[in-house]
Amino acid sequence: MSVTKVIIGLILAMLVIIWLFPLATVLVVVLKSSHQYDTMFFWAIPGLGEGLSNALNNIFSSLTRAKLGKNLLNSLLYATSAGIGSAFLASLAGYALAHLNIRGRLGWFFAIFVGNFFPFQMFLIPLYLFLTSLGLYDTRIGFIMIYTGICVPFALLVFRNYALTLSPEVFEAAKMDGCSDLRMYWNIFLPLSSAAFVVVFIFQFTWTWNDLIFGLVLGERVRPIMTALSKLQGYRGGVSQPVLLAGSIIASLPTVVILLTLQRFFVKGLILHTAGRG
Amino acid sequence: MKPIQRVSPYLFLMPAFLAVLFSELLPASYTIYLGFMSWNYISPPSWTGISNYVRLFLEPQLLKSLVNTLYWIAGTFVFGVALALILAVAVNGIKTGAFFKTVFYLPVTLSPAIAGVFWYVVYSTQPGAVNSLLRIFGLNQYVRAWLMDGSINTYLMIGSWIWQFMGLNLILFLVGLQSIPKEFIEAAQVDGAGPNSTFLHITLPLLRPITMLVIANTMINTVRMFDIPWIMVHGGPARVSETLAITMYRESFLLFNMGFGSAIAVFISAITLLLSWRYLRVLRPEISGLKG
Repeated sequence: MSVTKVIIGLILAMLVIIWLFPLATVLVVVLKSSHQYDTMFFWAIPGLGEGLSNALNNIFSSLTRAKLGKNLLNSLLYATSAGIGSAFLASLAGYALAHLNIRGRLGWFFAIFVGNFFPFQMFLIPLYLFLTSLGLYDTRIGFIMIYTGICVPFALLVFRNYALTLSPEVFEAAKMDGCSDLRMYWNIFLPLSSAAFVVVFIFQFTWTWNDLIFGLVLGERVRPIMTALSKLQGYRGGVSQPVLLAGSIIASLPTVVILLTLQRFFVKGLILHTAGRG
Repeated sequence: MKPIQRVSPYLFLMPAFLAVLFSELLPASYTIYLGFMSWNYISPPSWTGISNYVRLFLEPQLLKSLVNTLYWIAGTFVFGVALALILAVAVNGIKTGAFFKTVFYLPVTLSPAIAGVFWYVVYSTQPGAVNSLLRIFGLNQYVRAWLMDGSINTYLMIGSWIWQFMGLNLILFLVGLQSIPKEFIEAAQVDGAGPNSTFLHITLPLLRPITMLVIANTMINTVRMFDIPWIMVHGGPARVSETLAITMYRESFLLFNMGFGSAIAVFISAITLLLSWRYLRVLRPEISGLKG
């Protein structure tokens, strides 16, 4: 018995070391100045004070010299807009599909939700052509439109299933009293569905923030952050690795903070996303 | 009923439908159409029938990409799903479980692109984390340009991908394990079942629904995976490590073979749908709202 426990413990310890290895690597690189990175031994780090000031310098260079500040703001705009926008559109549709008089509800639902099953590669070429023909290639409004649209199917799944848990009697009673569809949405449905809003927002903010490929295809000057990082990285990037990693750390902060603090909502949404129980 | 009352429900539905129509449904249809065309983006598109699809199976580069994609699928299945399941069982219920959960979950909070950047630095040659570690231990003969070695870089990138998402599957399995009533396990143990047979005959069958979902979800995301291989080596050196997702991007947006790129996209979709068939069936009660 105890032998198996020791073996399991050893394997776990080994995996933990592997899992923390890249993070340790990032730490020792980002605490060095670009010059120290070229001259010092890789695993050596300067003193604590100097290391921290190097890290701050690297962050500063990544935001200004490498111009990531602009891309971070772009991504903040895109991710916030897509998160709120898709949650809003999906809340309207989810409410209608669950509580209003619509013919062929399931058909409508599938017509929207089916988008979730295509890999993104299916959308890239037409979306590039579409935005170009509208004159919206490489514009912020173009990015916001596409990101929001891509986020809607999953958002609808969350909102519709959430709406179905609300008792129909409430809505029927309100209707009897002469309440319009819009008033019911605004006064009854919206106040009740804040949990669904949070789940959708976390998911779609995170997805949009993390996106690389739409950013590569749909624009250049108003690129989101991950795309900008991918252009800095590599032999052509022209930025030292401490600066590249400092930029990566800054770019990670929003999702790390969101996913660590709101893990409960995230896992709930995840189960909804992948498994059969809400 | 007044006309406005009959129309108004659809007014709530339409914005979401139109958004998906223009961002996903029409684009997907157009990609299918372009898959039958030859188009270099300069001269007008011309109909070529199924020749793009024939080319998929004849061109050596595509075969290479397909084989690489299969490596990705196999690798993530063994180390992304099976390992996550074993870890979940090992970590479930032990005192330090929360610590392990946090360590393995940490990379999940990063984007795949950033995971790619991190591992790129780990394997980098200037001077690189792995290479300098090898030098410390006097293993100088193993020092190399890891990511430029086409015979191993696919495995290294699969490892980076597993590092990024495995914690997600671990958490899903843990949620599944916690939903198994303790009495089942205890009853089996009272009947004299050892840990292995308890796992095989009680835990595994009860985890089946979540296992299938984890497998399908992982496979689908792996077939689509673009960010990590793109960031780490751009499919190089000389296109040997390209996956289908990378080849699709290169053909469409760097070589401007829009028709051929579309055919690859349709091919990726076909694989995805094939892999998600079981997943759709499990998800069906959830979608039609009978559960949840």
